[in-house]
Amino acid sequence: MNLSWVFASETPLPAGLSVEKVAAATAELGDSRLSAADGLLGRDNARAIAKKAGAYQLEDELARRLELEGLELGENGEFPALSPRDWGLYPEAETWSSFVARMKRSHGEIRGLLMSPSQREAFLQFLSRNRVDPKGEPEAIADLARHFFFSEPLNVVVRYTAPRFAHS
Amino acid sequence: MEPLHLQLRSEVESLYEARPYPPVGYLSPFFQRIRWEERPTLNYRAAYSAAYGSTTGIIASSKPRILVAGCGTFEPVVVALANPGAEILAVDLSERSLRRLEWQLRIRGLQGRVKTWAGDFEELPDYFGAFDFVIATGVIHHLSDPERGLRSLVSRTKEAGVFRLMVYSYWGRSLLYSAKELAGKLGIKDPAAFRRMIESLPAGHPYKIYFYLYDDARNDTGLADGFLHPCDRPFTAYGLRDLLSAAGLQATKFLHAPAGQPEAADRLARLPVDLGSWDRLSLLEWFGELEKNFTFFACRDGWRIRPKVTEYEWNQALPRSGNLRSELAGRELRFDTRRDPATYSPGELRELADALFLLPSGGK
Repeated sequence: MNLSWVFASETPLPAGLSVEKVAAATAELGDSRLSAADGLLGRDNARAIAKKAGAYQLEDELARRLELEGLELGENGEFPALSPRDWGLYPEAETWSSFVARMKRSHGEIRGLLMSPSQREAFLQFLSRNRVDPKGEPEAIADLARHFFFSEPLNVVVRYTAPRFAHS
Repeated sequence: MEPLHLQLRSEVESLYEARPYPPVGYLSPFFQRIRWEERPTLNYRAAYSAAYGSTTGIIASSKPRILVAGCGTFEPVVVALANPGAEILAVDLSERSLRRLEWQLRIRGLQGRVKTWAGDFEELPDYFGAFDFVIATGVIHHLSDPERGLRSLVSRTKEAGVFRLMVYSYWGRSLLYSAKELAGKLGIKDPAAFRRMIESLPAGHPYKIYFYLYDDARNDTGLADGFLHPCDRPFTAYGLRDLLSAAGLQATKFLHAPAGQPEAADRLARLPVDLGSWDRLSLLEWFGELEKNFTFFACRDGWRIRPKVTEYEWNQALPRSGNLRSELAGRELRFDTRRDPATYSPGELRELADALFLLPSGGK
């Protein structure tokens, strides 16, 4: 199936399109926790606490049970999405909501996602299993991808158009 | 068109009519697990002591009137067992949930102890009178206007009334809300489709791990209650503090595990000494130490510092004098209700309070 919003990472992008990186949802979630703590303790202290808190580890028995059920945890039963140690490591990464707002402001248009073959296959399978029409709007599809690739940054393909000014 | 809050109430009512929660069955009532460990946290005297001092529990009302708001199918059973001698009113929007509750009460011989009323607790008729203890577990965050709901509960309590509340934590359940957001974008409205969504995620996906960690997700009723609820407004620690303050309440004791108690935040770092309990709870919430919910006792704001302790007003469940077994002291304690409680030492009172708290049936 030829889908207009799928761009292969192994081939060059068509002219007029560019790629923008959006922070992984997991980093966004961690950073918003950290920002909340910044207000109380100050930026440096909040980061020091996050680093010290380290990994979010499940109890051994619980981790074993989840692994037996086929789930993949980190080392020593870590639940990486909740581990504070990496929060704030990528302060320059843009969150999804600020990215979407910037696109609107700067006349940018989300045209699709740049994905590796394995990412593409996994994501299309997810869409199919959840009965999503893969020919939907690229922005809506990218919004679903943000959830699916929760722990990975998104490579969003965008096109900027020149703003139109009203003539007086 | 119905106002939004009535629409929401109607959706919540429909959810629990279709899926009474928790899912206790008519056919296997004897196997329903009773969470015995919750009994102390549902005990009136424990809540009273938390508000007015650890020793005053021994002079709290011996026949408290308890309101269980949004009670569901089972909680009043545990409340009745945790409060021998209490008069209990169980209120829920769902009549079907109340019928299941009545069955659970009947098979345990508790039906005379608990009255039920179907409807919105904010519209509870005045003839039910005022209560000593209000329990609202997992209810406030499901209201269209939590502040109005909480105020209405406060208005139904006596002046020295106490509360036991459980409210969802925004940060503690953040992954649940993200998964719920995805389900919303996929147009998912039923448990089977939600399960299919979870199964279609990669094996290490955070939503999938959280889902498997969420005990209630094992059955469709729990899944619908947790992940597909039509009205779910979690609170941050600060948000909860403000809500309580607006309703004229203050938290008196958090019923969390030791790692979720405010003072546990000091393990994270050397914190400024002027940080209050809510600041400390916020830190635990942000850094993942607080799981899912805030559970706590509360009383009216300002009452904690001036408890109405009447001299000689001992718990009426006690005989005039006798012995009580104190696990705390590891021995029998002699008491005499003609004696002014103020003449006991703080240590003796604490041991007596402890012994009375564990009385199996009203002090006989």
